[in-house]
Amino acid sequence: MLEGSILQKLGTAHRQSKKPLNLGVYYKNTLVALCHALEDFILESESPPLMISAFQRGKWYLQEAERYEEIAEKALQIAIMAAPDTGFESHGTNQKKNVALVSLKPEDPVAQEWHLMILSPTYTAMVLCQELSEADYGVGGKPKEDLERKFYGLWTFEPELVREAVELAIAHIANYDPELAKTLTAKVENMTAEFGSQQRDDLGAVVSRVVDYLQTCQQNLHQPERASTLSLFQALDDNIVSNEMQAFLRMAQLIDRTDVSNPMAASEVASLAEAMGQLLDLPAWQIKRLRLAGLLHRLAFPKTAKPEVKQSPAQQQVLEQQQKLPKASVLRIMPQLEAIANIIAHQTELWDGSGAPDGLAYDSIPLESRIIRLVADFQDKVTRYSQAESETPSLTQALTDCQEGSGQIYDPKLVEALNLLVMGMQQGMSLQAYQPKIAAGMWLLDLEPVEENQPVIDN
Amino acid sequence: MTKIEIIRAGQEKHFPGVDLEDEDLSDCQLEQINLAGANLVGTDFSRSNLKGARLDGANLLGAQLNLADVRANLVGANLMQADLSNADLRGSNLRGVNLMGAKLVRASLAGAFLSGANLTGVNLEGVDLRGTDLRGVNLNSANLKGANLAQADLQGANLSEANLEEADLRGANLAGANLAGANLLCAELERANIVGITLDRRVCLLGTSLSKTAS
Repeated sequence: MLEGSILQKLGTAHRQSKKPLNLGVYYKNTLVALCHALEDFILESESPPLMISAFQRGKWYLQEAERYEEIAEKALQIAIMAAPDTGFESHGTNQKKNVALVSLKPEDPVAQEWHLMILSPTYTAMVLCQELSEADYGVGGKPKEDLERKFYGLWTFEPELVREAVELAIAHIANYDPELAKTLTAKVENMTAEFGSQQRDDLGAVVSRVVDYLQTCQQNLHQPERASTLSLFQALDDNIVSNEMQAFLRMAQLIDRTDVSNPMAASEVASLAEAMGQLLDLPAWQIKRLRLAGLLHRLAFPKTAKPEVKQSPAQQQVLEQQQKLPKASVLRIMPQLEAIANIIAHQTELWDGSGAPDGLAYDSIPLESRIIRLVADFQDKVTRYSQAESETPSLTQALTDCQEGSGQIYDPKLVEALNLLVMGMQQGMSLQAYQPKIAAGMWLLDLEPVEENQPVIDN
Repeated sequence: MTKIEIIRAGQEKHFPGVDLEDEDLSDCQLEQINLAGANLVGTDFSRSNLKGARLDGANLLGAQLNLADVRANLVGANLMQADLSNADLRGSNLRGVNLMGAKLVRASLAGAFLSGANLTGVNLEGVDLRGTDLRGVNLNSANLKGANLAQADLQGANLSEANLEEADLRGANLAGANLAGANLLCAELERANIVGITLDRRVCLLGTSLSKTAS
């Protein structure tokens, strides 16, 4: 990493911490689509943000200057860093009071970086990247096609990380324009005070936008005259799909993080579901699907965990449908995730047919949905009981609860399997809750779902 | 009934050393079948269930095992040029197996034993190799881009010229591995053991997370 760059500073700060940065490789076209989506969401956001961006060269900024004018209407303050090209400083957008330009020296490492940081009380997002150097590109050298230029870094919605990066960026701006740095610091401080007082913007909406923009970018890539000229077509295509999925994984990550009472739900449910799939001897493609559904299972309920239901089945159905329809559809926009979206949509079905959304019963509920339902409830109960610190081990208590629901809520065969799993865990079998490397999620995706017919569990 | 019909019917399971070259055994239930030392060159086992089968010492050169369940005994088998894409190889014993030129795209290899196997130049992009035994394996010039190698044992493995871009190597054991000329761009090496690894000037370590590595 370039010495003195913002990415490097953030990386160093996290080197010894519990959470090292999870870096990935991005092609330029992916980054453009990603940044446009994150920027355009500002127009929908509930609160005016502070935005800091770095463009490498002034000419890249000029391509975006029109869009920035519109964003500036909404933003609290915008700071733009770039090595100046002709026309960089004279564009109309710069005349706005809340837009400030920082002309980087060409030898400044930040001039090799591509940043977008958005910070507001209700919406935080960031892209932090730097381009590979000539030597890093390896044998092929720098690509001729602009789209094939490679960057490495990260993108995220995590508020703490964005704030850290913003502070680093302000410190860097102070070298050029101490006055601007002071203004920015004051605004960040004001904003930090407001943090948590407002409901965050709907993350589902941002994620849909990100995926939507990436898909448009993918369609452009797939035009025949375009595709044939690109030597790296497959790599570019994979990079886009991988980022679409990252958007969902990052959303799941944030949902977990904001749920203080059960912050490990996604990874623990994924591990449990995978273990159960192995116990039932399901084929590999189905286990893969279970694992991903486990990681994403809370996306259908972005606000709160499962509500304890006291209404009649009919009422419940209406209520849940109201809550669910637009939300489960977040996943439906990505065709590769259609199977997963289906699994997640049906995880609220009950074994006896009194559940929602379709009132399916017994084996007509997709097997994966039945598994996710059971292990998600189980994981939730284990977490709750272990916080309650009672005499009886939390595993046993949670299992007893699930056994009581056997035949009504849960598939009895699966409760049996869970019983076996718990026995294994009590004898020291460890289920490692494994946080996937989000920047490279391709191995989670099963791009060719082969068999769609209902698998039968024989016992 | 011909030999093939008997095998397809699944009544008889004992065929060591049989010659099935270029035969069609796709979509078959072949669980627990004994094909030890058989000639299976170019045999089509697509989508078949070979779980628990004995394929030790069999010659599977160029065999089609696409989407097959191959959780079988493959010790000393020849799998050169075999098509194992989307195959289920979880936990299988592939010690010392020659997989040169084999297709392993989207195969499931989690928990498999691959120590001493030859995987030179194989495409393993995005493959799940979590916790796999890869000691002394030859992965020279292999494509492991975005592969999941978390907790894998790569002690003494040859990873020279391999592409490990964005690979997940968290908690992996890389002691004594050869990484000369490898591409580790944005690879994750948190908690990995990198004692005595060979690196050279061509190694790309950009964005590599090396925190808590034992070195």
